[in-house]
Amino acid sequence: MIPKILLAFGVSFFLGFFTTSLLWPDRLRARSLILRCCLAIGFGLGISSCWFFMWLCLVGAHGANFFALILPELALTVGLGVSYFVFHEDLTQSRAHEHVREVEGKDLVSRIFSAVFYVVLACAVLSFLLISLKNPHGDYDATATWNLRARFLARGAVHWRDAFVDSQHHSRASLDYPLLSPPQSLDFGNMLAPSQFWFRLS
Amino acid sequence: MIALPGRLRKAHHFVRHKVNTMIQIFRRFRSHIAASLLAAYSLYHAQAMVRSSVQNFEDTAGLDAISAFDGRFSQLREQLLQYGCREVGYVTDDPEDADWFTGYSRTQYALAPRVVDDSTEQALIVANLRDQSSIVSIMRNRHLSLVMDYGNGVVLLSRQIH
Repeated sequence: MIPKILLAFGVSFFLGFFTTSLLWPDRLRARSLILRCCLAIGFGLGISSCWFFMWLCLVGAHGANFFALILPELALTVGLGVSYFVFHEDLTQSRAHEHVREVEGKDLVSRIFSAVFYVVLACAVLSFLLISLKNPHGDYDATATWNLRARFLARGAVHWRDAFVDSQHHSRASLDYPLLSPPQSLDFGNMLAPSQFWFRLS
Repeated sequence: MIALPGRLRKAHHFVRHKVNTMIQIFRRFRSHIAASLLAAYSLYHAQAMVRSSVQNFEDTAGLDAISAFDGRFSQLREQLLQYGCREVGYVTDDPEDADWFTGYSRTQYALAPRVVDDSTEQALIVANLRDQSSIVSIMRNRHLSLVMDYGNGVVLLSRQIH
């Protein structure tokens, strides 16, 4: 189960990372690895979700093989990765110099701030893991909106659009909410419960 | 009387000098003070967050209510899948307050992708009950008939055709 989650997240992450890095200005590239990694998460999940909706609209809801979704995304990630490493070679030298200068120039406050940041980040990750283990479906908003939509997308087949329909007697839609989170929940949900999705669509 | 203003002036200069020195020290170290306060505040909240999460994790009382709710509706979900039913109605004995909406949204979550319509206008109606015995009055008042009782307060009803 964990390798599947890592695969689902990893493809999106690297897709976002390579895209962000290739678009990143060269002169700012040297000290931006952490920033690019942070941006890559949102960017990658967004691209994956857009691609998922396109796939769903074109073929996904009509019994298309699930590999038709994952393989183009994987191929794009590999392609961008190759491009990144080709361009990356030219910048290695200048980046090494920048790194040395950066380490020398760090003062005590920056070091303390960095240490505090990593402690707080570790606490946040630990807290997130404990909350997720305790409530795997999430809290109220998760089940009323995000994961509910993800279930409609995963189980709905040709009726997946019902996730975004509002009516007099049911108000699931919350149409002012962003659309791209549920597909990502679905990506993870799909990996966690393959029988509910892979089987249905393949 | 004449010496007093001089003393006052001296005192004034002394205080001004001290205040200026303190301001200079503050200006010199203000970024460090602000950084320390921010770091202390962040660390305090981080440890509070972890402590709260650990307490919540160890608390067995609120044991994954959603999974339990899902489990209650699993048989009904399979049944509705076999019927090929896309939309069902919804009734409950919950009073219409915050709990009512929680029950409704959890039922919708458990039965997705079946659309749960908060009405009795559909051919099939799902009852989510706290008190199993209330089904009798619900059926009588809303003119519904029993299709299947799945236990644990989950009942499938249908509209009575007149």
